[in-house]
Order: sequence, then structure tokens, then C-alpha cells
Amino acid sequence: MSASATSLLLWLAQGAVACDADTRVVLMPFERVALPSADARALEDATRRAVSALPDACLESREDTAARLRGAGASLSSCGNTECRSAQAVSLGARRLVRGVALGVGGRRSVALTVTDARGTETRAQFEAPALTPGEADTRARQALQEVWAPLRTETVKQAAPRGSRLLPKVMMGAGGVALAVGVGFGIAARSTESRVSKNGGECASAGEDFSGCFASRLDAGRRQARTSNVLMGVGALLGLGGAVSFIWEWP
Amino acid sequence: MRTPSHRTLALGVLLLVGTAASAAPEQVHYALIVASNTGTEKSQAPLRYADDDGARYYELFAPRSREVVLLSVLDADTQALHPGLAAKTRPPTHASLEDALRRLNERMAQDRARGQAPVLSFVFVGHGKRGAAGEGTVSLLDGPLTRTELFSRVLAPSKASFIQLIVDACDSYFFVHSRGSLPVGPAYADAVKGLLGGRELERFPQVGVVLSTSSEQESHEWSAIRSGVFSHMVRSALSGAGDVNGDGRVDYAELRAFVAAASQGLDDVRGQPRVFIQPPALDRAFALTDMGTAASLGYLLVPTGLEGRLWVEDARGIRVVELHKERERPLVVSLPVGRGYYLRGTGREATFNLTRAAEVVDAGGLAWRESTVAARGAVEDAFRDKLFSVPFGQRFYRGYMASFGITPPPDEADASLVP
Repeated sequence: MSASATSLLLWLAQGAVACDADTRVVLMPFERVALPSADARALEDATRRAVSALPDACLESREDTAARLRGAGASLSSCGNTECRSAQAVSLGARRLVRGVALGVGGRRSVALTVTDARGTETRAQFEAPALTPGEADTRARQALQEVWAPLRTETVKQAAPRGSRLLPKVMMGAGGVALAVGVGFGIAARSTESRVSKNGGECASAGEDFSGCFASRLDAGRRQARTSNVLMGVGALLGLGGAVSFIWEWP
Repeated sequence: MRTPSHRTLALGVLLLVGTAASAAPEQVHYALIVASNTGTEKSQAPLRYADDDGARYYELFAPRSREVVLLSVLDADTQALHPGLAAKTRPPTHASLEDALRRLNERMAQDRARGQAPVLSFVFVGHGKRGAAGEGTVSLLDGPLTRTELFSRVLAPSKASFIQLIVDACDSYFFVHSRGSLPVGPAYADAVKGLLGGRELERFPQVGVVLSTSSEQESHEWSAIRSGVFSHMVRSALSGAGDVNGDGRVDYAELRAFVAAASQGLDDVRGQPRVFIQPPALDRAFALTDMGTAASLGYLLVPTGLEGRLWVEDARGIRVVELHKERERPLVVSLPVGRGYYLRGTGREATFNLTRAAEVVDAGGLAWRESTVAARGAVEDAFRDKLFSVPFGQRFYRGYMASFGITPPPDEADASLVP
């Protein structure tokens, strides 16, 4: 398959996947200082590839971002604080906004990145990209973004946790309740067997010569019921306790 | 295996030759700084901060230069602020100047022989005077250096490919503690002619000039920065604050606009700077400083969104860079490494360190807190409030250049939005 066909397929695949508000990432065209625009663009593209490779990122194409910025008049107003930048992310329908300044100071090429989450957090990272090493910019961009992305993903997991994993304490407490109930049932049955056998031999009184065998059989049955009851009640108590602990642990 | 044909080899050689021919020669920088507090005449009161300015020009040029020579007698306070620097200085005498020029010219001749382009920054800070015959002089320790001598001893024999002449004579200082009366000196054009002489300068198309031309009878000091205000502006601009188009270079037009913006709020006629800034006729786009080249410097990135009057002080309390930034653009300033800094704005400050060369600190990520620096006194209010009171950026630069009928090249900012 030719490279152009592969690119076309990738483009179509990207287009087919709809970005939702929780995964859409907008990477703003890089600003630059002391660096030719072609070099700045190369660093931006390397960063763009690194963002695309992140598992939870649905990156808006540069064309779409540029069109939206042009449509906004000049550019989005320059924000002086995180709250303002988060609001910009929200207004763009993005979960995260990635900004970068491509620098060519001191004889080196580097990028200063800022990743703003629509929920109000912001992280920063930098990476250097030696001009003479092809592909090095991609590697450095990936490493830098992993530094920046990790805290945001942790936060996502923390915020998503209450919805899914609070099922566990409920299951544990439910199972514990059932075990307790069944255990109580077995306990009542054992008590009943005990009371029947204790009243002049109970059912075994008419057994005649088989009295001893019948009595021993009933006694064993009562003991089994009592043992089952004790085990079930113990398991039920443990499940209930575990459920309570996990419920408190996962309290938001 | 096919061997390359003669035609291919010839094409390769031609390409190599073409590439080498089109590449500009590597620039190597030297600086010769003459800073003298004392004047040659009894009527000239000693300056307080000319030696401080000399020391700071040294710190500005040293990380980006092959050799820097400082001819100055540092006072006790300045030696305490710049430990070890006094041992590297020589007195600002005619003999020392001659010796320094001879040595630098030898080195620059060797550079030229290697195909490099040596650039000499010649800086004078101290007393200046216009003689009875109209010839300007600046004061060395053992006598005046006349305009004629400047041309015959410094400019004419120089082996430099380009010379940057920066002169901040005593009458260009706008200090808070005023001495003397309102300016009664020569008009602006006459003052320039008095020190340099327009026609003589035309014979040196490789020389660019940054010159303070205020009246000799007016003198100010601003103890808050322990410096002459004009030199403070020049150093701030050359540190990167004057880079209005983000190309990492500060050229003469940007420096001129930066000084105009920084002093625009000073409505007192005594505070108005009179400057003469002219690029080398040989290359009018020649940059006084280029942050893109390798140097033993660290960098502070002041990102888009951070705006207002800002200044960087080092751990010694020396205000290294000052600017008034527009919100809509990022800016980078270069700073010496191996020390701690405060980035200060009105009522707030943040600390940062630059530990290694080429390190970049993003000011957007600094932790700001309320400033602990108190106001220094009512007498300095005018400078504190009005200097650097106007934002410097593309808007000011374009308007300023338009006032001279010059249209700057189009900004490339929108080009970044081209898919």
C-alpha cells in the first residue's frame, strides 16, 4: 500500500471518529521566538504527532483549528491566567488545549508546552529538539507530553471512579446480607432439630431398636446445620465489613 | 555497483561551493568598554554610576563575546557587587585604551584570516563635553578623548567587520537627583554633529551608532537601578526586551523604538531622552544582538498573556532587565547563568534560577506572590511610575516607525495559521 493511500486511510479513519467533549484536544498553532517559521512548524508537527499517539486524545486537525481561529476574527484573546485559558478550552469544545512556543535561543531548538484542561488545571513542560537528528523531536515531544498528560489522566480516573467502582461495596454488602440471612436460616433449622431431638428422642422415639442410629443421624444433621449457619454468618459478617470499608474508601 | 558519473560529481561540487558561498561568515564578538566616573575638568562633578554601568555592560557582553575588555576604576560599592571583576579591569587611560585596541585588532585580524566576521562593540560611559571649537570629547582618566581621536585611533585602524559604537556620556543621564538647570545645550542635530560629525561617519559604513545626546548641563541619577537610565534601557533592549518581531535579534530600529516607548511617559523635558541611533550603512538590518547564537546565557520566556511593566532583578538586587510587555506576544530575555533572579511586576514577584547555559525558564509557570519590595521614596516616584509606562510591542513599533515614514516588514504571526 502506498504512503499516500495509507495517509488517506488514516485521514478517513480520523474523520470517521467523532471527538466528544471529553477527548477532543485542540493544539494551537505554535508561537515562535528566534526560530524560522519552517522550523517552528516542524516542531509543531512533531508535537501534533505525539498528541495524536496519546490513547485518550482525539486531536482536532490543524486545518480545522486554523479555520476556527481565522473565523474568530484574529486569534482568541490572549489569556493571562489558567481560568481564562480553561474557559477558552470550553468555548472551543475541547477537553484540553495545547499551546506551544518554539524557541531557537542559545543555538538550540526547544519547545515550551502548556496543556490546559477544560476542568481548570494546567501543566507545563519543555523539550529540546536537536536540529540535526531526524525523529528526535518526535521522541522528545512524546516524552514531554507524557510528563504533562499523566497528571491529567490520573485526575480523569479519579473523577470517573465513583461511577463504576462503587459497585464493589454494594455487591460485597449485598452478598454479605444474603449470607447472613441464609446463615440465620440454618441456625433456626439447627435450633429446631435440637429442640425436636431433645424432647424424648423426638421422631426417633418410635424407631425402636434403631433409636440410637436415628438419634445419631439427627444429631449429625443438627450439627451440620449449626456449622453451616456459623460459616455463613461469619462470611456474611466479613463481606459486610469489607463492603463498608470499600464504600468508605471510595467516598469521593 | 554504479559509480557516480563525472557530471554528478561536478554537480555535487558546484552545490557545495554554492552553499559555502551563500553562507554568511560566522560572526565573532568583542567588546571594549570604557567607563569613568571622573571628568577631566573641575566643573564636572564625579558621576556615581558610570562604573556600575561599565560593569553591567561587561556582564551583558561577556557571555556572548570572545573577549571583553573593561577600562574602569570600580568604586568600593561596585567592587562589592561584582566580586572578582576589579582584577580584570584596567584604568581608563589613553595608554590602556591604546593597548586594548592593539590586542583586539590583532585578534580580529586573525579572525578575518580564518574567514570569520569580527564585530566590535565599543562602549563609553562617562563625562562628555563639547569644546569651544565644537568638537566633542569624552573623559578618560588622564585627559579627554576627542572626536578626532575616536576616528583616528578607534574606528579607522579597526580590523572589525562591524563596529557598534555605544556612547552614554554624562549629560545623557536622567537621574532622579537632578543637578544643574534645564537643558540649554545645543540642539539635537548639533549635539550629534558635535560628538561624531555626520560627514566623518559616512566614511565608516561598517559603524553603527547608539548615542545619548542630552544636554551636558543636566544630570540625573536613579539609585533604584544604580545606573544611567539610557544605558539601562539599552541593556534591557539588547537582552531581548527590544525584540519586537520575535526573530531573536534586536536591530537598530527596534532599539530606537524601545527607547522611545520606555521614555514616552516622561513628560518632564529634563527626562526626555535625546538619542541618535543609526545602523551601519553597510547593512541597515544589522543586529546589535542575536539570541539565536550559542552563548553562556539562560533565557526567561515571558509568554503571551503575561503583560505590563516587568523587571528582572538578580540575587544581588541589581535590576538587569526592564520592560513593559504587550499581552499578545511571547518574549524572551537572556540572562547570565549561575544565579537566582526575581521577576517583579507591580506589587508581585516570582523567583527563579538559571543554572546552565541555554536553560529556558517559562515565566508562565512561576509561582507569584505579593511583592516584598517597598517604595523607595517620593523623590523617585516620577521615574518609578513613568519610566517604562508605555507597552512596547508591534502596535507601538509600527506606529513609531510610521511616524518616520517607514513601513516595517509584514508580521509573520498570521502565517502560522496557514494550513
